[in-house]
Amino acid sequence: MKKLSLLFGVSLLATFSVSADIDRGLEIAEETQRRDSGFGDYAVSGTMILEGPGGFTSERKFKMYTIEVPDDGDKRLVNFLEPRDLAGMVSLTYSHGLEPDDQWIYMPALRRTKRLAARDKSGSFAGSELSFEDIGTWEVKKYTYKYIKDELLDGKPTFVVENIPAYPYSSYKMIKEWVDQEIYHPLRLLYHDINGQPLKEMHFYDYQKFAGKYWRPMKMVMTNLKTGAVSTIIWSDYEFGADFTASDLSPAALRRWSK
Amino acid sequence: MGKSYVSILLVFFMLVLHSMANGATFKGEIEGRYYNYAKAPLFSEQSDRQGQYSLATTLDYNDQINRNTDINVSIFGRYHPEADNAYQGDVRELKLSYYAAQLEISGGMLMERWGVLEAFSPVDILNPRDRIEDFQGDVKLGIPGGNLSWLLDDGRVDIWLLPYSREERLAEGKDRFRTSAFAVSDAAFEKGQNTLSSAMRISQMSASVEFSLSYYNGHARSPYFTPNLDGVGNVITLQSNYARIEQAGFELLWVRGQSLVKLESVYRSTAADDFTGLGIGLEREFPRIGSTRNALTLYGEYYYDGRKSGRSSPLTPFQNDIFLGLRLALNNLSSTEYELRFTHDLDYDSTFWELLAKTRIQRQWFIEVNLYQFVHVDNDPALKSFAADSRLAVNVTLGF
Repeated sequence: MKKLSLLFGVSLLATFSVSADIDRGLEIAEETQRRDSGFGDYAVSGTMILEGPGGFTSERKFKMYTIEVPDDGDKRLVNFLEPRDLAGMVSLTYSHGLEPDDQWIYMPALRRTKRLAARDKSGSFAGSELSFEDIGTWEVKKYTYKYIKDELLDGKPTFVVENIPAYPYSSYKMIKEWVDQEIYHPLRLLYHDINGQPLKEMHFYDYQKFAGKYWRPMKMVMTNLKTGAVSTIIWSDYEFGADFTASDLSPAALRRWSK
Repeated sequence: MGKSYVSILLVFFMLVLHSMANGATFKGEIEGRYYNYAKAPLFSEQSDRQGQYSLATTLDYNDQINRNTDINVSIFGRYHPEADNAYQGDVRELKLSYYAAQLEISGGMLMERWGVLEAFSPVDILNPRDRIEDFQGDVKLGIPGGNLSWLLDDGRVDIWLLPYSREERLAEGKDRFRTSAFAVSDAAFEKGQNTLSSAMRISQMSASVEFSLSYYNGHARSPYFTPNLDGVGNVITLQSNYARIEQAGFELLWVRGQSLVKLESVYRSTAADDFTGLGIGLEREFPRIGSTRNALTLYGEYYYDGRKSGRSSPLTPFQNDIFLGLRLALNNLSSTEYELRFTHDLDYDSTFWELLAKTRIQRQWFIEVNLYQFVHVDNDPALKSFAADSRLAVNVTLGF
């Protein structure tokens, strides 16, 4: 009987402990959201350098525009500038937490705006190691969270949190995240494939504060742990408060963005 | 080269100089193309050179004059010594646009595309086709006019006024891909070439459904032909005629999981007859095959066109046809893509195959290989004149 009571007590403690870890994980995610909300909109220029396993490299340049949508996912437009065969192509994504995103692409050669089926977001973004799921805007409800521990990463104190996708068509089983304890933004993401095996990792560098409040990285490096292929994005020219309207970032207006 | 082409080039290079001065966007392509035809041509006037080459350029200019106004110019030219007109060109777009809140007003040479289907869009009516550049009609000619658009959060309303009708550009004389053995005489427009055409289109979308309703009143963009006879009843030339038409169109796109269900339908009325056209399609995308980055897209479409053969029936390759397509994008550093397209006419059992492969070979250099193969087209009125035009084309393009 004593043994049974002890077992019951340990199980109860473990349950409380797991529950506490989940609450703590959610608290960290909600604090991240709270600190980053209210930006309205922003634009940023990106240079993406793709490195294949053989050392062969290729570069893409693009401009990205994001509108914050408080009660839904954000709207994000990517306008490709280079290489020449991608120049003028524009993609637009309406992110929707647990529902499939809405996605369109404008193809300048055909002068055609084409709707894409975007339930499965595992496709490569412009030939890079990043998928459409990776470049989508983050929201609290897209994951459930479990706090693991505090850990130093490159000398910075971080919370280590497991993000378990709530989206039923996610291509990941879990994403382990190292959250900077000072600014509440990720410093490292370790993506586990649907079988739970580490697949790729993203490192974030050189966070800077814009508009007095919003931290954004100046560099992101995604490494495919299976192939060794690396995709690096250098960010520049962040511009907050450009006052885009919903109709600016609508499928009907995509052609206007194509340059 | 005609004076008009020289004028166009002069104006364009003035714009380029202007763009250098104020930071507008200027980009272009120079393309060298080699064609190899498997068979001798069907018609005696056609060039019988098996291997042919051409040089083409596309120049695009965009200038954001201020936050509300921009100008877009796109011109195209090709030199093809074996063509009936060695120099061909077009101002595909020369458009001044003004944006005011949710309104857009544009005027000049316009290029519009309607439709949701992959192989052919029955609803797409505003621009005439350049069938020398592409016999299937994917390449179009600019059309002069004005466009007023009202942009909504979930759709748009467009009105076009087009004061001038242009002819479809057809292969003739030495050209391959001729639609007839006879030369085509000057076009005749039912109400005159300068009669106003107008169109309206309303598009609306929700989370999983998009639809558009359109109405067009003006000259048809494809001609019907009548023979010009000599004194003893022999055909000398064909007269191309552009009937005045009214066309109502409907487009529907339904997102179902990882698939798109598509529908296009038109009802067209002319003085001679009325008909209904329809296209339905399914597109399925597999964004990642296994552990690779390869993405596969599959297409299946069916087309029906209710036109009876007769005076007002232009030759259309989509009267009772199925289209199947496959596109494989490797998503590698060179953006390599393969595409296989199959169109089969259920009435005449004719088939058209198209195979396409393209990749980037340097930062600004691209190569594209394109194979056309016509099979059992001898009885198909729309395709029989292309029976000897199966060919391989290799394009090498420099983008700048």
